[in-house]
Amino acid sequence: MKYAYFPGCSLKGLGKAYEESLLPVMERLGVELVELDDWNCCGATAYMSVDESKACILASRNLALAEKTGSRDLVTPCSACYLVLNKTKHYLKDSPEIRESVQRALDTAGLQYSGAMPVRHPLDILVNDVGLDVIREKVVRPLTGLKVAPYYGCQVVRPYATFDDAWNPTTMDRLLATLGAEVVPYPLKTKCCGGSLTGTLPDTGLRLTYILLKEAVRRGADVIATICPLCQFNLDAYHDQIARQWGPVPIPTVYFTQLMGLAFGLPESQLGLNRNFVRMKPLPAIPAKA
Amino acid sequence: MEHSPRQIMALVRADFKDEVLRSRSIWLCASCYACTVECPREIRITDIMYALKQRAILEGIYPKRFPIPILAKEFFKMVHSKGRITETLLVMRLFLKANWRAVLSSWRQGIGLIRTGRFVLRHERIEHRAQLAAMLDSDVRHEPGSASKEAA
Repeated sequence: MKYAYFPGCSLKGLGKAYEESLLPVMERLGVELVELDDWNCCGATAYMSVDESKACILASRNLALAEKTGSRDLVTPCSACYLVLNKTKHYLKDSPEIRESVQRALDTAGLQYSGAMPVRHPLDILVNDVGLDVIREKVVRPLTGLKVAPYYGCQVVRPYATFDDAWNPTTMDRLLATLGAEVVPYPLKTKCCGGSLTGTLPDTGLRLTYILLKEAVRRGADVIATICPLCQFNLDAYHDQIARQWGPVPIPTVYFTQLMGLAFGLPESQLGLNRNFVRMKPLPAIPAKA
Repeated sequence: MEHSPRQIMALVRADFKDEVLRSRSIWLCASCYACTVECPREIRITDIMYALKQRAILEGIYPKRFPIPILAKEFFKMVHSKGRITETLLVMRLFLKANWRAVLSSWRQGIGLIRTGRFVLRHERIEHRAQLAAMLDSDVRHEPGSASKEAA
């Protein structure tokens, strides 16, 4: 299986560990992710706050580059990228004005975009294209006894819930259970982490982050699994400030792909786990083959 | 929050333009789309908040030294010149423009990022920057939120 791959800026910066774990896990499953040549920033939420049609132009360059590769789908792991690329597809379909602006911009660059190529998340690929049975076969170190809170955040499930439910998604729950982990009930799984408010208005943003951490601890989780680089950063990098304001909530937050890598027996040093502020406790050694 | 989302909607409908655009509340929307998915009247509240933010920036009306619109503008500029965002450099620019004292309270986080190899100091950039800039510059100004209106 071969897909066009749009990493987004975070996976080259604060979210490096996401890419470091995603690529070897996909490779182990025979999924080839081919990085788009010369992709640009998706625009995220900040760009959309300044100019809507320019935001769509920004996204459309990536969509056009992806179509040029001839791949069947474009895969993007970052929630903001996933949302913006899908949103642009919707706007191009629904708004003649946006369509006109984007067409003019594409013409300027000699690019073409038909609008047909689906934009998908790795979770969707893993569960619906690869399949849980294939994933189960690759597990050499089951995550038995590890209690995981599955945290999806907002923008992969809302407003375009293409492969899962907007309020109670279960794709990652099922995936983690397949790895042998114990998935704890986590009713806050699609609540907002605060997004960029943690940096701009810490009093407001960090309160949201704190609530998520506290609930995961209260539910007895050992670790929070996330699918978004901004969620991971917020839940991991502000423990000092949160502890000063509300008391400590010591729980690590890792990417679901890092947990997959551990279950597949990939070396911890190669999964970016050392990039965490709050480190995950090492798992027991791989059981010897019977 | 100065105004609840309901108050914002009511102020918009009653044409209290200045009150709405000066309100800090529109900037508090983090785009989680919970209200958009939930609204029984299918009002796309998130997109309306975007339209109000766009209008506030276009008209230069927003609370002085308020970091959220400053972040949005710095983000916009960095994308235009580099084609990509380098998060750590973006945050440093935000601190310089909005509140340099914030650097003092964040130094431990900065050191943590250096320690974990996540503090990127070299600008990420694309090769075809001129192409991207030409695409963005080919766009004429629209009424903020026109696409959301048509798509609704």
